[in-house]
Amino acid sequence: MDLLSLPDIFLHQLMRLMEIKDRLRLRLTCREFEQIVAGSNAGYFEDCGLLLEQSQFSVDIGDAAFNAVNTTKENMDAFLRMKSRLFNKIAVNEFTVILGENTVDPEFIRHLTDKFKIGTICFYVSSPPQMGNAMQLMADFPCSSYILDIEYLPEVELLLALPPMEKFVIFKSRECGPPDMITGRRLPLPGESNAAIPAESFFKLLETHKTLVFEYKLVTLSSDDLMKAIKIISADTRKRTVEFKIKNSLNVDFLEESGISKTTKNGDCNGEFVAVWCVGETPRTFASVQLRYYKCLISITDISWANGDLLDHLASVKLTNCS
Amino acid sequence: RIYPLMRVTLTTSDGASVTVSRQLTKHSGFIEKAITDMAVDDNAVPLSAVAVDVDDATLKLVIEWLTEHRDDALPYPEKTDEERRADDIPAWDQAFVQKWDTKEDQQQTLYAVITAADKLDIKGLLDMTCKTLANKINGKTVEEMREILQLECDFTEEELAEIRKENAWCEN
Repeated sequence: MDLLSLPDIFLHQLMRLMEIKDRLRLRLTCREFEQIVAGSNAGYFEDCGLLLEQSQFSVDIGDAAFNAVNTTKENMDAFLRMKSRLFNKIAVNEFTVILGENTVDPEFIRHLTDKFKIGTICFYVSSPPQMGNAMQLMADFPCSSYILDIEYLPEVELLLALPPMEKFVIFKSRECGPPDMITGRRLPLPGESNAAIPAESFFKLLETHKTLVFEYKLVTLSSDDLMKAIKIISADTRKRTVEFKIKNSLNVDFLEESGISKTTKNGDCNGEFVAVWCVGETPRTFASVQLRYYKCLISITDISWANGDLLDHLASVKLTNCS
Repeated sequence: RIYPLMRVTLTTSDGASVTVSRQLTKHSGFIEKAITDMAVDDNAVPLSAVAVDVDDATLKLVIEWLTEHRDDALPYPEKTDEERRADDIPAWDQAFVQKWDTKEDQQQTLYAVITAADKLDIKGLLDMTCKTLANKINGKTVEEMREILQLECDFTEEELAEIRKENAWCEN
């Protein structure tokens, strides 16, 4: 009796336990095993990645990295041919796509992800052309779930046109364009917004996306807006989380209006707010509070009770109804 | 409903008969189906009659494993897409398989048990043997894989060179 005479169900179950590099080596054992490798399900992998940059692409699948392959038609065809010989199905929880600024050949990505069962497609983009490519791919590959991580602030109209995301992160620490010739300060990119997201648009985004994360000064909210966001998260039956940064003074105003002060202790109640966890300010660390408002858990960190907006200080706010 | 005292007589391909408790055979989808669907008299299930090639020595190993796993929950959990662990083989099972290492041809014993587990539809045993074989070959070189799996290389040098060229893309 030899391995190849074992039941198909066993061989296919066995192949689902092989790492990609094992598959590459198994291809070399004999002709029949090469066929088994090509015709079997590679099983489940937590994440895979595709990096497209200028004239090269890289693909990570499980433990195997296909690095810096020149983006020629010949190489792309050869890569796709090899992929078709490594497995005939694969399940991936998170497929990360990092896009370059050149136009993406959708046919290549279509063939690359053929036979892939993808849980979430995760895009990282840092410029308007990359954003255009990401939006094109979302339209080309309708998927149940997306994560979008962008490093500049697009125009609000574009933000509002995005499909619902599992997680939507805007990380912007500065303007991302070239430096000004006179001042040396970076200019906004073409298509990049200078302004923070207005409250009205913030609430539309909050309604659309499951998890929203805004880094830096990307949203302009009043104390009333903050309370409105808390009420929305609390009332939503879906799982919702939003994280953002606001001016320290506005945050302190909001807390004081809600009856929370630097002397509030764990378990103190004020109206609908319950203080779950309070950490006082010290000369070296800022204060933190965690409050509950019905179903909404409010976590605020980096609070400075006395310093106002000194040094442009920002407090971090996280609202969630997922405990 | 399982009757703990009910006994089942199994007839192997080499003519031997083994009588075991229904508590053990309930883990075999094949035997349970045979008892239920085939209206076998006296609960005697002639395995050879349905062309199952399970010999006496292999069946004894299967029964040894079933005896240890008689209280495992049924039905056996369905496999999900997310499962790809092979490092969770229970200690008793590992020792059970390691005992075969002293045999002259442990790989043949493993293959015989795999075939029996498949034919008798014992999902837990098939799963365990699959993980055992996966652990034997994971991370091994091509030559080691060929040796463990007892495979003969039937590629030409040109074909091997072509596959190696493709594989070279992810060598680093």
